[in-house]
Amino acid sequence: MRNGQYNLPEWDKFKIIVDGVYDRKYYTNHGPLLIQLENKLSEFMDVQHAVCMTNMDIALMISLLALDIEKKILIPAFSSISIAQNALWAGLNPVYCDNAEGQPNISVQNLLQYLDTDVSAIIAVHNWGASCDIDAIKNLTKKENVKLIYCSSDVIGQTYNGTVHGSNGDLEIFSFQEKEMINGGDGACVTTNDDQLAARLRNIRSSYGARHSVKIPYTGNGRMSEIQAGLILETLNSLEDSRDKNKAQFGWYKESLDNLEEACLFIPISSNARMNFNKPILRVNKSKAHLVPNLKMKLKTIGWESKYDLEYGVNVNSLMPINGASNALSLRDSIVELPIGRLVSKEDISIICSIIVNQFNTDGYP
Amino acid sequence: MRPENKLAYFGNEPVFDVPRSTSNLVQPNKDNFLNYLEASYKSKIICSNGPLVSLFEQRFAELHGTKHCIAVCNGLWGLVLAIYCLKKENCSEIIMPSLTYRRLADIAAWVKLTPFYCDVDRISLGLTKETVAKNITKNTALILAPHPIVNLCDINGLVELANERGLPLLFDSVESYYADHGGKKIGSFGDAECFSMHASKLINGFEGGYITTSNDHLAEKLRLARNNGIDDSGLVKYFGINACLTDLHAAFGLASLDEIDDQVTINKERFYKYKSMIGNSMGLRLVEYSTFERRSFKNILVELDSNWRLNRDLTIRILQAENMIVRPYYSPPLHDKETSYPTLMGDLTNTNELKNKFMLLPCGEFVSRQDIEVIVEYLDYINLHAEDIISLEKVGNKL
Repeated sequence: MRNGQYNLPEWDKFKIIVDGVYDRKYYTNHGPLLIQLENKLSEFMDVQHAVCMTNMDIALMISLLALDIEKKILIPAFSSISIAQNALWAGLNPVYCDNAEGQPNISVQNLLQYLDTDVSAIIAVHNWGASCDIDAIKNLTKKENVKLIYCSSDVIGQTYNGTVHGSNGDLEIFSFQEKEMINGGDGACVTTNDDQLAARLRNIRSSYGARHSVKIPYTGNGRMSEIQAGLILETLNSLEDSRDKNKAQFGWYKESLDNLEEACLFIPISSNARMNFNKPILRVNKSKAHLVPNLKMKLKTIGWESKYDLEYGVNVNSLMPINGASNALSLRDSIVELPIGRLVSKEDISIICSIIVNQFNTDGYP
Repeated sequence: MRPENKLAYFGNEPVFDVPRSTSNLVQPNKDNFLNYLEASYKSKIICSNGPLVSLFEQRFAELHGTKHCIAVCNGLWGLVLAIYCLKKENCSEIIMPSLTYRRLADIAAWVKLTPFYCDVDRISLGLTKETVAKNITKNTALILAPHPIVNLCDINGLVELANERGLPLLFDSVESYYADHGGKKIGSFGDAECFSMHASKLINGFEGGYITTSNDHLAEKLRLARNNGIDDSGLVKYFGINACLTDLHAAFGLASLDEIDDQVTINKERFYKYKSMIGNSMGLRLVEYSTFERRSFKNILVELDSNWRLNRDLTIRILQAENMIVRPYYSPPLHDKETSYPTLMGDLTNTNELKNKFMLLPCGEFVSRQDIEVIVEYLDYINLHAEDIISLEKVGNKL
């Protein structure tokens, strides 16, 4: 049992992708599958440019370089450690910004608190299928003249106010790591409507696919291979099927946990017709949050694992201070992310829900 | 036949319809590739430093005679992480040649080190103890020694120098996979060595790379660094990025590795075919591989001497028009490039003398013995007709 989608086409379908790569004898350097993928993603997200890269970290580092920013960057306290690290690699000074109480996304009020003349950019993450307050953040960044990056893997293909995610902020980044909705083994895509920014992204990524030469600070190999592109095209084709499977599993969790008084599933408020349902999160009421560690221990005995306890930026105060991250810390301590995806069965979900229900019914006592 | 009637540069049909490049582009056996990948693919977990990557690391550590191999997503980020893990603290300069891979200084920029360009040896085209020693300062954080194409840099001298001065020594061995030195495998020298599996290289992994070392502590740091500093228990112990190698690329690399001896045999045939043809060519000197140590014979490097009657750039333009994708050797050198970051340099006399003299001829999977005959025939032709070509070029008689 693992947290993550792990969507892969059937082995026979994958072999057909391999046959094509072998026939064309094109392995990397902006090949035909990569070109096809970028065109398809651009159309899918209704955005001018989709620039595919090696993985999310490299995509974010190259994006930060392409934006030509310096000094401070505000990042969510409730986010993966990689965001803080990527900002440091890009020569920036990341500052944690808390989320709103009980909510996973960056708080506009808190952004206002930390915005000063040294801040040149903001990174916001759409967590758990819930879009950030895009309109409010847009007004803020416009007014303060700071750059804006969205990390949007959880909301790929979803909409905000009727517009599909992909063209918000200065750019958006989507991960194709195997745990995400779209799988390239690893991989990522940066989307933007800014022609000059897109040119800089391509030139930093590689001379192949750069189209025309533009001035950049320096380069970094951000290439995606043909086999990755082929795999991503195939999993993109089956996105609806993946959503349907997720929705069914999400429904099983809801069915079993709906009557809990002490906790509930986080359901993103959205007018989306099509949600990804890829992050079922159990939110435990404050009064019962003390039961969460014990609950996690019990779930670990059946192979469950958590990333929020360990690799989230808010935990790592050796890198930077975590002052003003109390909401992120309290959220971390009151949630249990439930596994969903191809490596999770209905029986697994049933066992997990039994453990959870029992935990709260017995108040944690055996 | 006169140049204006023969050469594609003057509007005629190119002699090759499909480009002959300097990229290796070797294609490993498909069934073998799929066999390597099948188990992890069917487990649905293909990017988690799992059993296939472990096998990859074990096989390449054996190839290079080291305790450890740390697989990474590509050679550039492998170099970035290796430099980060090795560099001396509170020092700001990294020694490297100027006549080398065009991205090497950019790699230093990611690690916030200032490149200090050193000269190269006239014969090997690589760094030596002498060219490096005079440029070491109290700010030197690391010596980065890329092996040049065909030859090796002064390994013994650099190892000695690094030990004397207490400096980390990192080899960029992208062009020297298969080589031996003094009976030991390339990959086992200095503090660590970095390799790339880009499709143009000896080992084709689509993309990908790896670092070899026998230093346990360094290996541990590199494994953390390529995984955002996160250890096996999920705790963040170090600084890094996601530089993990996907099983898709590990499997392709392993399948390529299985065929490396056969590939080298074919490379050798190509090299000796070039040698037999170029032997009588005026103005061209084929840079020879050592015959008493193991070499890959992949790259074909020639020097244009005083009997070569065209400048290198025009030579390359003419040949490229024929779909012979001849490349200038590491051009322009790094010290001639404008950068957004500061750089330093020592005496670069040899570099400046050599920088316009060498070029790489087509090699790899797409180049046959017959192709080599055509390529050398055209090289001889354009040198013989140099005067006519220059006249035509001057009057702009290019269609």
